[in-house]
Amino acid sequence: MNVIQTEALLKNFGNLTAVDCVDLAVPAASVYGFLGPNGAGKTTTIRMLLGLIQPSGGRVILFGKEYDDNRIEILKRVGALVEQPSLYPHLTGWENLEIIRRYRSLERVEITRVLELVDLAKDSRRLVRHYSTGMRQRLGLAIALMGMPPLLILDEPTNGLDPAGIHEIRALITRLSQSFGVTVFLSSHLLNEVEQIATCIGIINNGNLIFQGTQDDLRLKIPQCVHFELDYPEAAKKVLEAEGRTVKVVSASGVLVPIDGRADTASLSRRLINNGISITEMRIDQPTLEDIFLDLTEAAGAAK
Amino acid sequence: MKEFFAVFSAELLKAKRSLLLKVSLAIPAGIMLFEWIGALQRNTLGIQPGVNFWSAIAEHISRIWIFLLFPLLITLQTALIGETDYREGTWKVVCSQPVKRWMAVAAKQCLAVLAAFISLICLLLCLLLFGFSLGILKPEFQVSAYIPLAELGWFFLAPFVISLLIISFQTWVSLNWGNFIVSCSTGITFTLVALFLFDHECSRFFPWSFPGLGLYRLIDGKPVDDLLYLSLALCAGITLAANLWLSNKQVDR
Repeated sequence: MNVIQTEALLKNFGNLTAVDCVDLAVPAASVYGFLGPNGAGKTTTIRMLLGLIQPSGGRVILFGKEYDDNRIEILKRVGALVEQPSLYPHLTGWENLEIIRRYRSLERVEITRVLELVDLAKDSRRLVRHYSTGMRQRLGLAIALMGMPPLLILDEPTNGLDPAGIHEIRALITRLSQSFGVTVFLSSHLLNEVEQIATCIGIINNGNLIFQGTQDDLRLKIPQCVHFELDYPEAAKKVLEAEGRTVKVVSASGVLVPIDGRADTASLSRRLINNGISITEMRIDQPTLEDIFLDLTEAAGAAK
Repeated sequence: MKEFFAVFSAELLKAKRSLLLKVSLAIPAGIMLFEWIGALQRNTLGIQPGVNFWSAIAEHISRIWIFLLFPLLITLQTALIGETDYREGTWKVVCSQPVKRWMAVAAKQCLAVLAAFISLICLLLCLLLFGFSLGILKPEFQVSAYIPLAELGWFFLAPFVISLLIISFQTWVSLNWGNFIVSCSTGITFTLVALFLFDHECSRFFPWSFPGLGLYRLIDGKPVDDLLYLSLALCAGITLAANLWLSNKQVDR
């Protein structure tokens, strides 16, 4: 079952289409990485999922229920951190959580639990205005975790955290998903962050969802390449292009050729050697998520 | 009802250590302090013979309070209430909690009424302190031992009830725009317009003039029932409309 489902979700601001017919499908207990460059429509989508702004068209279905008719029931099961953490600076960390506890009618012990989860118990009695950026971020996350909601919507949750903090939050998100079955919808522009924890990925660009699926599905979108280091790259290019291959000269002695499996590499190297070109080095280039992301967003941008 | 009290208690907690509480207590106390210092420097308070000291003082203070300071204080308090959730963007956190949006708005309106009421109580307490201390420090003022508490209370309470209309409107302004300057300038403008309009016929149709009109009727010993009912009806109308409007408003900040 999909915990989040949108159908042709649309948001217009005057003549500008911020989100254009987005069909999200977020499976239960998954960590869904929602990627996109700045201004792609990530936060607008999140705001529509939380009912903060009304869609111009389409449907939002959370936990199998239409959002508009079941707002309160749905929000009881959703914890969210939208953009930067929004806190009351004149109150302590504990008091900020107490406000949420009152809104959600939770037990007081819940505050202690989330403070320990985000490692803020020691500083909970300090005023938030004296918190560092990382502490504020952790408190924002604690607010989202109040009541252990089965769905967490997190917008850039590791912003402002140091590497150790990022690692902790990453481990926490993975633990919440794997041990407690929490579904995490994680919006980010930090590709390596998403790559490490997301089980599913959605890429949005200019308001359009240009990809949705697993990381493996995404990698299939861009073929592997073989990188040759050789003495005559231009000659190598001619030889391989004569065979209908796409060849990219990437340095004074390097060329990059897309391949269709490892067997293809052997045939390419044989062809080069037969044409008198010496290969000094050869390696398979696995595209990173960043390569794929840039490729997809640039391709989508060019198509527009 | 339990749900609403939970939301209201969250609003009360937000007011802890806030400027709202300080302003609500400091402004009425400050006014009375200035009056007290002024009175100590005078030899007479100019009270007509046969007029009760407390009634005369209450009339004097209520003129400054009802016409100018109370509407300005309401403006400041409601602007601060709105700003609490807009300055740091916490309104979106409130709106993504499982509570009915109208409850969150109504809780803020109740907080605004409570803050204004606390100011009124503070003013009345300071007024009593003012009288007692003058009785000790300036025996020539002949402070009466009899305090007409019911009369004093009604003198301030009736204009307060009439002012609920202004509180309701200003709360809507502060929550709708979420901008301290917009809230303050709206309240200041309407208060000044009410002052300029006061002697004019059309002041009867301008809600910001209602508390002043009510006060003058009380001073003249005339009934204020019609003004009270009209203000309460308008207040209920504005509250309902504001709740409906704000419940459906997009939270884009």
